Amino acid sequence: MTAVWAQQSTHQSTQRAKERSQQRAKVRATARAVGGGEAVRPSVRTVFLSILLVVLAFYTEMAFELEWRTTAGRIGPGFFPRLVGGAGIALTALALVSGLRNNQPATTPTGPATGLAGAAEPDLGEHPRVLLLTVLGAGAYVLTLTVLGAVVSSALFLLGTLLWLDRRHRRRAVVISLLFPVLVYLLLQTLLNAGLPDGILPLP
Amino acid sequence: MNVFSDLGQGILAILTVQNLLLLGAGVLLGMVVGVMPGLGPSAGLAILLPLTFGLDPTGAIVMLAAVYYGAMYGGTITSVLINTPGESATVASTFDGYPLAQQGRAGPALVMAAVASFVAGTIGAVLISVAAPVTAAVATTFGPPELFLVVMAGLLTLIVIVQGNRLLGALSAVLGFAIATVGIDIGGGAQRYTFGSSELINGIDFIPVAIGLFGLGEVFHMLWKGGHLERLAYVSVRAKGRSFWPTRHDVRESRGPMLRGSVLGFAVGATPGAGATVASLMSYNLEKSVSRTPEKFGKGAMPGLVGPEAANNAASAGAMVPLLTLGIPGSASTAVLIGGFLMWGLQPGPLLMEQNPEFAWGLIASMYLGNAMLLVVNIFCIPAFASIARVPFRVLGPVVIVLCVLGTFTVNGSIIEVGIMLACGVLGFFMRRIGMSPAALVIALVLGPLAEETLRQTMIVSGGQLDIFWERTTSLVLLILIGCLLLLPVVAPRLSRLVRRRLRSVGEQRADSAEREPDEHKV
Amino acid sequence: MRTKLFSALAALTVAAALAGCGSSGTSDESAAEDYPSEELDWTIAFGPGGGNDIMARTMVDILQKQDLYPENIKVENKEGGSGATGWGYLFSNKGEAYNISTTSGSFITTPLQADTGWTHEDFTPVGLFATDDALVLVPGDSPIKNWEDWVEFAKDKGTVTVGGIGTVNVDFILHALLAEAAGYKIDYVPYNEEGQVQTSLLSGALDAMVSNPGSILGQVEAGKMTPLLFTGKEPLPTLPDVPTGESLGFKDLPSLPRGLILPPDAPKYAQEWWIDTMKKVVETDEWKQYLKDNNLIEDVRWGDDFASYLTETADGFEATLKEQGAL
Repeated sequence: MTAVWAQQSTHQSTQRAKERSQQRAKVRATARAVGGGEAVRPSVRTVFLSILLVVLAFYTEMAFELEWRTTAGRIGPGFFPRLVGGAGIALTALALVSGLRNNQPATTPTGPATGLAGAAEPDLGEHPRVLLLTVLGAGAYVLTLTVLGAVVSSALFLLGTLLWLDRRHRRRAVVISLLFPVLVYLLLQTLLNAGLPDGILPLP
Repeated sequence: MNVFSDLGQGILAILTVQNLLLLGAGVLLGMVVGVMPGLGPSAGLAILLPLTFGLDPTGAIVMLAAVYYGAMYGGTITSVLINTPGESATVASTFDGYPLAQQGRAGPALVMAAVASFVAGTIGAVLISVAAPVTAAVATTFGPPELFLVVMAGLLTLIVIVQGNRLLGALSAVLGFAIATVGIDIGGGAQRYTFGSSELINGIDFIPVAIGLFGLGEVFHMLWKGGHLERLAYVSVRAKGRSFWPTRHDVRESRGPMLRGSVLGFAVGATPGAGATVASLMSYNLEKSVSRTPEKFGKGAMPGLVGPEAANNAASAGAMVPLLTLGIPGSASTAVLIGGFLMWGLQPGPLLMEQNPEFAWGLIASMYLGNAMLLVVNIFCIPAFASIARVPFRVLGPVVIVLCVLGTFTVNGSIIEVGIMLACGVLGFFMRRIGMSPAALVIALVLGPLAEETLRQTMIVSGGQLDIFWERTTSLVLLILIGCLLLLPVVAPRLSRLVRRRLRSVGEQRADSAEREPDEHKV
Repeated sequence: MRTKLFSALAALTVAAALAGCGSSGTSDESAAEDYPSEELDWTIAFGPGGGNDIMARTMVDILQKQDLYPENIKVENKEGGSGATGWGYLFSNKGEAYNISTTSGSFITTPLQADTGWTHEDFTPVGLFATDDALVLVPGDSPIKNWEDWVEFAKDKGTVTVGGIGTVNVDFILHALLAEAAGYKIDYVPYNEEGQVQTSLLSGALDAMVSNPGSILGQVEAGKMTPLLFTGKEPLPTLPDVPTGESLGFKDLPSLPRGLILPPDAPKYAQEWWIDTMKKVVETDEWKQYLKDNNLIEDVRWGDDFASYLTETADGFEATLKEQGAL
């Protein structure tokens, strides 16, 4: 189990390397130096917490540029950021150390919101590639939203993901991709005037 | 007793065919708006308010009250079904609502939530009629120190929520506080972490963060787990076989939480500030503290859903008290309503109820009728909503992503916020994988700025002295209440154990169920 | 990801601006004669139900009812960044004749505290219609009944605690200017929401507050609060007994502009058309009723007069805020 876990998380982190930009890669390298043992490649938890540590360090550094107290001697704008930054760094460091000491992360299936142990889910393995492609697709969707407009861009995203995830029901995928964005657009824009981008289609 | 005749007359006055149609239309419209992730009651009101420009006040308020409740309930639907709270007041509904849906109990969860809303709405309307003068008198004693303590009471919920892994839970909360410091500092006008962007000067809004962490985070998590494969529906397929209606056990379990939630929600909602959010969180906290089976919370405990649902609904009734009796808006939604008052040519203030009794009572009555209408509409609609549970995840997942993106965009028309939402989706996925708590982050994000602002205001008012907290009567009372709330989880189990021991010693020897070990999943 | 997003957005903005320039470059005599012949894009930089929103919707209502604008008017609330989003959108439509927006206090204060990329000077002014003035108030149950009582109380106490909305805002400037002129000291408590300032005053946490008449009149009428001073040039019609700042010897108390603006470099014919049209609007009964209902003091200035008023107000704000150390 342990070996499988380590292998899979390694696989995961290689996948993620593609996703991250150069800057992130640098951060990750630092993270590895900070948190990674030589024998075991760093787990998701170690990498994530290390990135967090770097971000929080920047945060705290900026907090020290803000005033601790105002000229009148009251709590200044830097008071809370400093407390938050300090506490964040301490907690992250603690979590990193405790994770390393146990060598393996205490990853149990967790509930959706609270971080409490949740209902057991059937084990279907891990699918980092599917996840990565969906995230990238969603990114492209968001970037094209204002250019192509809500309807076109949503339809393209749905068409792409549905055809790919649900290969057996091509017709259903096409129908949903065309109807659903139009329906949402009519509801939000035409009926409620809530402000969706028209884009390239001449819509009412 | 004339309050009841006033309420009765208010109800009679708005019982026209036209108003009933407006109510029905408003509830449906509100539900549709609320089901869109991102669009909650206050956004729904804001979108629909311009439509009432030029309507007569009573017709307008009937419509808006209906929209308000509809949107509130719409938010619950998404919290339960796709783990996406529409606004901060329904965050607590995801804690147990979504696990319930995952277990194939979406139907009972939605029905019980609607019943809880109705019960709380009824209790709220009665409490407005009976307790408005007293509540209003208390509300005017709320300055910065009192508000700070109320926010603290809300933050105490964090202790209950992060019980799984305290270290990572605390870290999640700290992250929330950190995000909350972005924007112009209200205390002195200094820019913090805005990097010169004018989009960020009002800070990072709760909505994109919550939708990202909860809604998108869940979709990403399911994808990673292989949710797009045949065998796993978004929520368990057992939904087909199970009964749609709540069991007798559900109802019995929910009575107490509903009543407690309603009263607590009304009281908290009447304080100007973070009313409904704090109320729902406090109710969750309270229910877990008094529960005989606290280990079930977070894994689909019915009281963990109905308590906060009742509380946030009663809180919106409570928020009407300062609005109507003092002319002071206590929440984002009532602030929009005040704008509506001005738009319809009414002068908000302490004399509103005296000068426009038909209007004021019409408002209270339409809130009540809006609740009743909601229950009726829901009996027809819930099967349709719950059937979403049967849509396979590989179809529902992309659709949820589209809803999250478009919903976030419509709130402020900001593509930056959509980007933040997406980034939070990825963050939420990783937080979940390593056992951090998105809920703690979101609660800290909502309450953090309020805590900072009110503490700094308090310190200016007191000249830097802490004794202001026990010198003012109301804040002293609040301090004592917080003390009780802190002690409750420690005292309550011992008390009930004591009682049970007594009972056992009287009766025959039986296995002591109270000594049951709580589940220990964490290392 | 984020940087990509920002750069994409920047590219979009530039593209939109270029498109705007292009269309204004082709403007010829016929465009001027035909004006207005297209749908109008009316931006409200705040959410529905606010002061800016109500004014804009009243104007649109009058323009449509009186058939002053022949085409459709599309009203859109673009909320965010204290007006930065909405006015930023107008700014990006450089040279356009069919974009318009209403102004309020944040039009001056937001550029002072954030890098918005525009200031009031960039836009094409149409006119000022009214000013938003403020009342200084104390709790109704306090023994202070007029301005003289207040100054005496403040001097006795040494430092009084006063409140209002925000820091880089007219509320703080008013408190600071009044205290300086009358010779007392203040501790200013900034709030985010009107409701919280009001309960703070009623709960005894504050000694005094400022607020605009529209939102506070209900409290005054009920006797919950006592107004001490009105910052407008003339007394408020509904509260004729409350002295103005000027009558008490305070000169040049700032006020906030309720006006109308077009995008930067809007065509001359559009500006002229709007000045002529709005001159008719301010004469209508509905407009007079709006001013009365919302307790606004009429102050009409057109075109360049409006622009110089904005500059004067903004410079005054900046000077006071720098002096008080808030900028």
